[in-house]
Amino acid sequence: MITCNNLAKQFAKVHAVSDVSFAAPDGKITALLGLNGSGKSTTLRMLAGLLKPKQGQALIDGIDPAHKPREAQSRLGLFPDRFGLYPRLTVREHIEYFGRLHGLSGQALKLAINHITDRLQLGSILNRRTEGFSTGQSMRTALARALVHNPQNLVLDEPTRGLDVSGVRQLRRVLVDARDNGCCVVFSSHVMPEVERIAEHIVIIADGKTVVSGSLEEVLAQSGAANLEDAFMHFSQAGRIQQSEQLL
Amino acid sequence: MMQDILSVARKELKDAFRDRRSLLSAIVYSAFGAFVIFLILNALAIEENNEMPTRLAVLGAQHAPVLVELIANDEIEVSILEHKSPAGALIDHDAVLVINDAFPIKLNRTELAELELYVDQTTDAGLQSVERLQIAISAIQSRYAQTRLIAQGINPDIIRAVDLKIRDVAEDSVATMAISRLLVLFFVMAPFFASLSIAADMTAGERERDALQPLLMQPAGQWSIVMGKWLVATAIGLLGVGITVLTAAFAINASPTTEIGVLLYASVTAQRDMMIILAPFIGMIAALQMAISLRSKTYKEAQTYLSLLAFLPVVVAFTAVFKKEHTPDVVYLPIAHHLGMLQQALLDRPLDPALTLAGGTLALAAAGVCLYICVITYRSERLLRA
Repeated sequence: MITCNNLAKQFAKVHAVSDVSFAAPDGKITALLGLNGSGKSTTLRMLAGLLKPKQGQALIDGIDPAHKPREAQSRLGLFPDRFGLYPRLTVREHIEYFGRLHGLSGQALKLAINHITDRLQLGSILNRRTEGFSTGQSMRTALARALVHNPQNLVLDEPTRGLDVSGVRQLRRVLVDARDNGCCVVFSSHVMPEVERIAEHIVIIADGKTVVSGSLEEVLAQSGAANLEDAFMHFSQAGRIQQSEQLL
Repeated sequence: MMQDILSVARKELKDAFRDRRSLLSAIVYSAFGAFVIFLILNALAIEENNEMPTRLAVLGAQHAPVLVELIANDEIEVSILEHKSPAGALIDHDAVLVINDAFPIKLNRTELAELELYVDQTTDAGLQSVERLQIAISAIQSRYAQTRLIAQGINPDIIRAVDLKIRDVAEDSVATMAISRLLVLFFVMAPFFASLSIAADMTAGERERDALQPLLMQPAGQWSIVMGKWLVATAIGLLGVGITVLTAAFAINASPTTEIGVLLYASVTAQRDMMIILAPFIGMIAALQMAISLRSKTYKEAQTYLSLLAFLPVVVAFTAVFKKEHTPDVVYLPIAHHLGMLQQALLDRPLDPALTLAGGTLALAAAGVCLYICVITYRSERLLRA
């Protein structure tokens, strides 16, 4: 389970995140929605232990990544906004490397590699170097890297970015599988139909603040909109107006 | 922690051996450098062997045939000419000696007899002619003076009040010292080039490829990441420097150094000692390169900084030349210490264990500081913001 309580982060004079709170339970897919620059990626980086919040607290299964980053990271599978693959390593070597960093070795590592290869259908590219990979192949490799240690919590930053229909379907299947296995899945996205389709819990962030959090039905009801896109725009603009009023 | 270090090291080693750029950087310097050493030493030897004798034309040789006979030696080739002007004779010769008809008369009267030497001193051959003729004439003059004294029944030693006898205590010639000083600079620069590419690629390159963020999201501590990378950079540095020492030793031993008055032979012991001296230094340079590269946003930026850094030994070497006293900072400080110690090894002198240990410890301590800076940099949020 992932919890954020009044998270805030400032870079010099810029308030990237000013008050983000939500709870993402196990066995559910939580979507973080927000316009560009709303603070989604900064929030996810604080969850990953890469950034320390100025105030508030993030908890991964009750562990604060700001204080115990390694313990928190070992319970997380992270899919960053950029794939960041090593072009001279094969897919197998990527999975092996990140598996070892999560403490896997010997037979356990072999089993984990076999399992993730089957799960993400990586067989045909397993021994290929990642240089020149398509976006879909890179996405699957990055996903394998995040899932090799079978984490209890999965955090993805805009995972559908640049993917074709086939890639999106495959990713959707993996997220749904993870949820069905009791995993807590949190992802950020701009793609409303995708969010409507798989997310059970929606958090909308506008200008660094959580403006609404709940199920799709609850979000629609609170906004009075007919669909998620309209609701998203409603809350995003409301957040901006609220901030403008505060500034005035 | 050890498993994490090994995991990072294993991955980086695999990555490095597949990176032609890193491997070339580690090997090319050694191969190219040894080739340059071989060329330089051979060129010096050829130049030494190719020194031509002075072509001296003598006008009026009939006035002093004995003198002409005494002047001719290995370095001076005499041609006796008649009915030619000095300027005309100079066209085909390096110098022209004119003996006028008054010369034998004055010589017989024990008066100062004059000779004229026509030469173009703007040319190397002309300058060399003057030098060689002065030495030859000085020897002949001394011989004439001694003969005159003996003829008058006087001991020739009477005109020599003081005799300075020079006993050279130097183990090595000036040429040996100069060449060895140049060669050790080449050895000290080797680590800078051997690990340049790998250090830049595994830090700035990783950041440029956006692979740093996924790595820092893993439950491996910053020390494990830094140590794993440093071990590989050091290993590649050792490999590159090892090849450098081997190939350079081969180049030195295969060159005709004795022909230029240089007594150098890079024995197996000397090669081993050089590696012992350089090993901690290689680790220090790898750590320093990593610390600098980590602050660079791209591989190219890091490469620029590290290339500039590689000229540091040249600066230190020139400073050391002008520094009169060998104060402790020169004896122990990395680079200065290594230049001195390597020269001793190259001259086949036994290693001073205490000095080697002190210099090595200091280099490793400096490496530790650089690695700590790397850890601090990895912890910095600024690293991920750019």
